[in-house]
Amino acid sequence: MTVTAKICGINSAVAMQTAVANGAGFVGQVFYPQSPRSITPGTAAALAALVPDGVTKVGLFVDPDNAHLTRVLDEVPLDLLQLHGNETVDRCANIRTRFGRPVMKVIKVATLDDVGAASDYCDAVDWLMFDAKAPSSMIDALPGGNALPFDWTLLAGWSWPVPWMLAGGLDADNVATAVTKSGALVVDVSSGVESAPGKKDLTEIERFLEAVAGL
Amino acid sequence: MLPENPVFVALDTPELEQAVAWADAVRPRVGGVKLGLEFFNSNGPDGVRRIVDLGLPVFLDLKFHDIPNTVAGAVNAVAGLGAAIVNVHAGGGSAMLSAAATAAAEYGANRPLVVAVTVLTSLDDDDLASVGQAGPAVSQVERLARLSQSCGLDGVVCSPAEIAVLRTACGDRFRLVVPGIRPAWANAGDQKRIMTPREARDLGADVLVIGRPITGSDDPAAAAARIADELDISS
Repeated sequence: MTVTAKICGINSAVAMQTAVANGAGFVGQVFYPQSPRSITPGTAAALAALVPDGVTKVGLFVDPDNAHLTRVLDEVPLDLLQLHGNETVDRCANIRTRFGRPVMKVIKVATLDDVGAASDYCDAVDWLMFDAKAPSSMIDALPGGNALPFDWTLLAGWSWPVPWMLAGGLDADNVATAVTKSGALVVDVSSGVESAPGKKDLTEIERFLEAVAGL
Repeated sequence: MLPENPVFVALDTPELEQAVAWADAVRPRVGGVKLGLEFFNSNGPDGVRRIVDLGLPVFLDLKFHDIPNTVAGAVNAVAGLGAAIVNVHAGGGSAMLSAAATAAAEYGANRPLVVAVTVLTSLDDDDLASVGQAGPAVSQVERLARLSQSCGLDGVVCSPAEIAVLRTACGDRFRLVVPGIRPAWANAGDQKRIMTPREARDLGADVLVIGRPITGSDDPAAAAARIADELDISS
């Protein structure tokens, strides 16, 4: 079994370079202005130029309108659009058709029912991602990147017709357990490789990718 | 501390009178002028004083790179000449950068901005590797910009292609001094990708260094005015 990693929220050249040099299979850039990891299309394009063929460039959006997607895609050659808000099945299908790129829908999980809802999206998207649902008590919760794990065993035993990633509170120390419990083949990390929100830690990126390579 | 007009005209000439004539001609419609090594080594501190006395902010582009004490002394000397912006090589390391910032700070409200040169634009990734620096160039530029910021420098000199990345890396208050800018109408037909003054400013450049498109034109004053108009800066 080979497990692949996605390093998300990359907002610097050195972090991008560290991610691709250490074997990340996916690199994520955030286009959601409220996030501390958000970058402009111009910055994203310059960082995307550092990504070799074979590494998937993912753009993270939260309930984006068409104008925003157009602005970003005019400048940044994204390979996969990650929809991290409350996009409906129809909206996912619409974005996929309109922009001609593969789409990944993020499913926020607290209970088994949340996991079950993923099935509704499978005809409309190319990928799924399961992330922790932030509790309603959490002040200033972001749509993702809140360093929150969820009960990984909720994902065990399911099968979906599209590939999927595991996200939510992963880091170099817990990723092995998370993979074992959930059965994930692709793992996504953002806050788990940061020294502060939005500050990627190069050593932690290396540690995470090393941990994933050992799985 | 910086003029509203971001355009600094590069007076690239060894001739003092030519530099004075250009500066006089463009004065109403530019933010400042830039003097480099060719001018300085031909005309010395007296030449710099002559330009400073014209009343335009002067970016003295001498790119100091030496041990900390020596660079501190050099920054002190050019600050005394009245330069508005001076620069050093970020590759001189943190102690040198801090020494440069400290030397400038002694001039208080009249201190020059100290900005760092990161990677010379003439170096590509292979050139960097050949001098033992890790590429790609944009990563090295970003690394050195962050180092410069942490040492108290006001900003860096960077290429147009690096503006967006450095704005993200270093925030809004870090000064970006950008050479290699030319208006679309001054494109001499070479192959290099150009960035216009307006594009560079909109991306976040604070100072635009423009040379030949102004000093090489038949009417430098008109060229400077046209650029100011494109930037919506009134005279």
